[in-house]
Amino acid sequence: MPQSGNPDNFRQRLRPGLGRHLVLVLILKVLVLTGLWHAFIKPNRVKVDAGAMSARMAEPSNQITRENSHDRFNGR
Amino acid sequence: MIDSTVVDLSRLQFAATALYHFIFVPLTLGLSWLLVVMEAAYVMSGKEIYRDMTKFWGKLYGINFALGVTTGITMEFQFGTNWAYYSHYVGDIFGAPLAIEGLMAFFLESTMVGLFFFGWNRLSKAGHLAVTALMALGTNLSAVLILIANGWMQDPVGSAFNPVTMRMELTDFAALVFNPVAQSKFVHTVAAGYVTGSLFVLGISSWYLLKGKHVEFAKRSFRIAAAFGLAGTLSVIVLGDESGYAVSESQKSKLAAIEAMWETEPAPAGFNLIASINEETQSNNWAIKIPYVLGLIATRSTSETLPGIREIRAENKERVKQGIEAVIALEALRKNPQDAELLASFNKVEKHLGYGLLVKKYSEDVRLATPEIIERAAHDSVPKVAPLFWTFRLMVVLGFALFALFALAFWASIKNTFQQKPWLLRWALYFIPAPWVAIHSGWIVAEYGRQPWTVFGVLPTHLSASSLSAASLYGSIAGFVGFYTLLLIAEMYLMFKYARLGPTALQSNNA
Repeated sequence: MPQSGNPDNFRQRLRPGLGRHLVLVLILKVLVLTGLWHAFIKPNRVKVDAGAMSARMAEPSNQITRENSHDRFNGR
Repeated sequence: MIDSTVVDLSRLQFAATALYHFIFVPLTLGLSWLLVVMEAAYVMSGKEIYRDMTKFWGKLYGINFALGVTTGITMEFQFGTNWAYYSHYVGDIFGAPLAIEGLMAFFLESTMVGLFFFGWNRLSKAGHLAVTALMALGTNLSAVLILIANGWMQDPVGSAFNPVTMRMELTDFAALVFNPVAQSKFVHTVAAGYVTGSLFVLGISSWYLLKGKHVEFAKRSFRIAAAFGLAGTLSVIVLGDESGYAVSESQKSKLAAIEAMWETEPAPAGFNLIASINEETQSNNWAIKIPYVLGLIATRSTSETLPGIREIRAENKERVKQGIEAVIALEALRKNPQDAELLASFNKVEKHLGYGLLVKKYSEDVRLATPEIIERAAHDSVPKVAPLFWTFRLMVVLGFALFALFALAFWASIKNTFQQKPWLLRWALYFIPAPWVAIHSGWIVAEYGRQPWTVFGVLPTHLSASSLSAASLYGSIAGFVGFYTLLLIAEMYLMFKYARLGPTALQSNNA
């Protein structure tokens, strides 16, 4: 006899098991992390090179100008 | 000037994500080896109950792994976004162990996790046991590589500064890997993870015994957890002592702050059990002191003195002055990189460069540093005492309480009397959060105690942070904390649900 017609088996399949819980959590994680990435990480890509490092550590008068040109992307 | 709000917010964000991440990690570290022990018992004895134990505790391990995985990734993003100057300055060294961790240890662990859950009917008994052992090995390998990176931040060995690239560069890979600070931190940290996993199993098994549910299953789990936990707590204590000794060698300011030792004492120094700390006057209003103990623990001798905070600050004041010369020499060298004379002048004072950079918190131009600024920079070179003093003591008290619990549990399991000791079972149950509190206290001691540096003595924290906007940081902190809190709630919900179901969950849910 095919099992699929049994209403108990059907209810059993619908019951949220651990596997389903974890898959749900992992999907939510991917979505939330992607959202956070787009909101806070992608637009804040920061590039520092030897010049910018030197400006921060050792060249006070040039620091602001050089940081702006090296440190922020997308006009932020 | 660098915006101190941005630096503080970046620190807060990193600390928050690290502490959340470290809720999941120690349980993974501990449970993985317990699963190996349980499955080894199954393979050797052939008793089905040990397979059920492996599957059930493995299910809780799986919940923790699924919820915890990727929580560390946000920290690695932050090195690039929030700590871009740090990443440039030390990335060549710091990045290597992190990359190895991601590509080797984490991949190994993740692959074996899949085989662990889906390989029960596809692998031989011994083959599945090997998978479980490799999963545990991957978890621990991950920890060693992360702590090698962290150990280098505490004691930057095997590296040198290159004024042309403005980077720290690796000169000795073996020194990086076998850094005593890193190795002692690793064994201390993973042993704390073993204690966490053991108490998790012990506490939940105790709950079953108190309720009279799944008694045979709970008794065997209790015994294994008691033995493993006792070994774990003993290791934590012994290796914690080793870790403290490593700190006394490489980070005297951290040790002095942990012990609220303001003045240098004749050897061997006494240990402040508790004290009323006064940061303003740089002294303790009162203290309960045990003579000689600190000197014996920290130096393992009766003749070696330990410097007090005042002496350390006075020494560092001189280093700040020489550090200012180093910054000025670096400026000149950057303009004429080929000038051998300038290079020789810089090399003379280079080891103090980090201390000169402490001044930049108060003066953009180090030449304008007044005696007051130099004094403040030297003062900053030792972290605040009270947070370190009390979090360290909280960790130690919990460590010894856990040792007492596991010693009694082990004794009771040898005598087979633990079922007749409801107080012991309740103690184990209610104490489940204790290892997490102890571990987080220890993490605060290690990382807050490193301040004001991201890399001890080399790069100050305030120069390491990116120039982000405060608004952006408030947003990202809210996003990360909100997200991590949701994960924590989901973890608690699933853990409670499946722990309540007990081994019957193996029949009702075959995930």
